[in-house]
Formats: sequence, C-alpha cells, structure tokens
Amino acid sequence: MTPFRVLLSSAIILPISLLLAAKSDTGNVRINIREVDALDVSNPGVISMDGVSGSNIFNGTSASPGKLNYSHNGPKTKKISAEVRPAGNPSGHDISLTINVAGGAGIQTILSNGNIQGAKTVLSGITPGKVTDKDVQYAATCTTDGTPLDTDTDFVIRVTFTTTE
Amino acid sequence: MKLKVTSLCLPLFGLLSILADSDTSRVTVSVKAVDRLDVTDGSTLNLDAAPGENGIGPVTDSTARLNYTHNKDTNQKIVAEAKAGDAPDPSSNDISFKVSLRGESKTLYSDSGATGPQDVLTDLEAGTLTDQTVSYTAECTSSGTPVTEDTNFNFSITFTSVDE
Repeated sequence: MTPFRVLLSSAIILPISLLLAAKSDTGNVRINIREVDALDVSNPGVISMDGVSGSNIFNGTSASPGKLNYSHNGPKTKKISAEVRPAGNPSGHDISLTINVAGGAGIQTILSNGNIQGAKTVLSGITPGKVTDKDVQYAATCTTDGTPLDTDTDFVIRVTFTTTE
Repeated sequence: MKLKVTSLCLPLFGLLSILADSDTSRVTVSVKAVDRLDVTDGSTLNLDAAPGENGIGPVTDSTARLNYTHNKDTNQKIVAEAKAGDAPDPSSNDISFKVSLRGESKTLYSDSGATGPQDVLTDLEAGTLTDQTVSYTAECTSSGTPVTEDTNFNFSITFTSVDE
C-alpha cells in the first residue's frame, strides 16, 4: 500500500464516524394522578315539628334539602351509605329520621324511635366520574310522650356519609 | 436496607388507597313545645217542664268534643270555668249546670252563680287526648227560673291547661 492510498482511505472513513457519533437523549415526564374519592354533603334546612290538639304524632320534613356532591376515579363502582352514629344522636327523644337521596335507594330509615338503625345505602352503582347536587331530603316524626320538653328544643342529629366500593 | 424500606412502604400505600371518604351532615330537628287544647261547641240544652213538675231537667248534651296534646315534662291538668252571657242575666234564676269528662262531673254554674275554675281532667302526662266526650247537664225549676217566652241563656265555658 502506498502512502497516498492510506490517506485517501482515512478521508472517506472520518465523516462516517462523525455521523455515527450524533447525540440523543430521552426526557422523562411523570404524570401523577391522585386517587380521588371526595364526598361533600351540605346541611339541610331545619325540620320544624309542631303538634296539633288530639294527635300524638309530630311530622316534619327539612325546609330545604341538603346537597350531595361526589367525585371518584376508582376502578370499581362506589356506593354511599348514611348512618347516625352514637355520638351524633342526642338523648331524650323518640325521633325517627328518614333520608332520601334523589335518584338513589329510596327512603331509608336511619333513626327509629330514637334508636340508631346502622348504615344504610343511599346511593349505589356510582361509576368513575362525578355526582353533582343530588338532593338529600330528610323527614322526621316523633311523639308527644316520647319527646317531652318544656320549651321549643332543637335536636341536632349528625348523619355520617361514607363511600365504599 | 433499601429493599426493606420499600417493602414497608408498599403495604402502607395499599392501605391508604382503600380508605373511603366520608362527610357529616347536621340535621336539625326542631320540636315545638306543644300545649294544644281544642273544645267544640255543645248543642242547645232544651229545658222543658212536665205537667205537675216544678223541676225542669236535668237535660244532658254530649255533642262537644275535647282534643288535647302536650309534650311537656310537667303533668298538666285542664280546668273549666263558666261565664254567663250578658243578656239575659241568669244570676237571678236557679239554672245550674255541670260538665262531665271521663265520668267526673263538676258543677260550673249553680243558682248562686259561677263556681269558678274547676279541675275537669288531671294528671295528664305528655301525650294526647283524642275526641273526648264533653257532657253538659243543666237543670232549673219553674219557680226559680220564670220566663215569659222561650228564652236562651248563653254561657261560655273556658277550658285551660295548666301545670299540675
């Protein structure tokens, strides 16, 4: 091989080497999607109960409904239950309380003659997405002899809503 | 060491992911203190004499009804009091009448006038009385209550519920 041929060969190979050495990189993007299970239920209007002469029964419904809003993105359908827990049930009454969520499971009794009835499903089959402004209506009854009092009295009952799969 | 930390974290994440959400709504049930009494009017008591008798009556009417509801802690009683109408004035005659409830009779007006408030129902615990029959019985005499024509004497009976 003559010195000229060596030089020619190098001149051809060098540009090819430069092309193979072009740089590349990979950028990483992390998208963090939170598991959402957000429930909010507002307070309803006051249930006013007044008696009439000759009747032992008081009846009343909430002056305005509560509103239920819910979002979830879980893989399974969800349901919402409602219950009165011991700490949320004042003493000295025989109030029965029912709850009815619009488009839900119908009227459910959560207090009966002052006694807690456990968790009741009020809305079920909730697919991932949102439930907006569902009316939550309450109705109550009690009796004059079961709820004796000397002055107008407010009984504040706390209803706990829970989402489960 | 890193492996151990990871293995601890995974179960925790799993636990967190199955926690349900909850919210509490406050339902206010406002119960009125009730003390409701309603008594309907009775019918006219027609007192008519029989030949040869000085006594007229007694005549009883049982058309009035009493309904009562209370939810007080304290037992209640109901008192009744008669008041004669303005005209004609019955005080100069000998009309007397009494009221009966649940078999107990109390005189509300006698020939000497109104007897004042009388307890007609007592020891009423919280609850209700429904459609209780109120009977009025009246009597007089021909000599003690002379009239020149058929005459209506009007009385108003006031029923009041009070604490025992």
